[in-house]
Amino acid sequence: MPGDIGTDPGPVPLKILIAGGFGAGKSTLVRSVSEIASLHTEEPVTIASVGVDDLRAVPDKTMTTVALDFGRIGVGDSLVLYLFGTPGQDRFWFMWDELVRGAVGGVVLVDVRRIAESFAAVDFFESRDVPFVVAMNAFPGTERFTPGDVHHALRLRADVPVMPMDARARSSCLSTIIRLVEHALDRSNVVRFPRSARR
Amino acid sequence: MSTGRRPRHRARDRLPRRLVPVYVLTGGRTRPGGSELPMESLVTVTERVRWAHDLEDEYRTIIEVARKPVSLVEVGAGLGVPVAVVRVLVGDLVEAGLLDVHAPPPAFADAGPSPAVLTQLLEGLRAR
Repeated sequence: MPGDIGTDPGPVPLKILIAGGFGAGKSTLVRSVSEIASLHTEEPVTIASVGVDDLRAVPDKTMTTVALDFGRIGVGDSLVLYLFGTPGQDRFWFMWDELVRGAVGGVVLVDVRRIAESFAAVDFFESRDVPFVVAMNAFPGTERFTPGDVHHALRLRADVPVMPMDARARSSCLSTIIRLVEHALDRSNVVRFPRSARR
Repeated sequence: MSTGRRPRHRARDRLPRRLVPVYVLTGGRTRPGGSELPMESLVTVTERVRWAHDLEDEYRTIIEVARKPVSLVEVGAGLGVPVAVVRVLVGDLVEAGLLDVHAPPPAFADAGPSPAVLTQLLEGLRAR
């Protein structure tokens, strides 16, 4: 019943990170697929506290803000999936560390004309062992590149999915997200079975 | 001659313009980093909100939006304040018994969501 909350165990929040180089279409993807008008927030951070997870305002440190675009997809009654468009600037990577904790995984959006700009995002997810997929955004003149080309150029692990996508089209974005969840599920089964079998 | 009290503004359509800095709102409080609620944590109102009166604007706004599950980061974007401030305001409402918090299960932080939750997510997304 709408509005009648509090008797069940409660809703569970989930999140996906949308990463990629500047102008690769992160905000467009979030906007296409979100059920709320995609939202924007500016979070204050202290530059000198990089990696320390400390937001206190200390006068001799430089305060700045990190911009985040985010959207939301309600899934059934109990799950709410958030999409976070990650800040593009490298110096804010400590922000990603907080964002990525507990995430389903990531989508690395690629503009194949500027593929080198995706290396950083790929490295980030690989080094933290977070499941991710690579989506080739449909910019003009990119049709001649295949997922195989991108897979090779980014030197991806064999199991990392690469697919074409149009960030402006909701169904295309949704397919990409579904592919990511499938991949995350495959990975979690592989990783978890041995652990629980040892008991 | 008018000695009328200043009218109290209620039930506004738009969020009120903030007249005080956010550190006044939170009484200068911040919370130490590390074990903070993740920004996607959801809050919902409890039964007790029926008896809540005379709340400050920010608290009342949070109560209104939390009639359905809403995340800290959404509350922050709506109020125009950072998540760190929302954590403090939400903490006050939780202490007052007016809000429940639904944080992600702690196990997610190490290994991501469980296969059971991922399966449920996948089925829900495919059904859209």
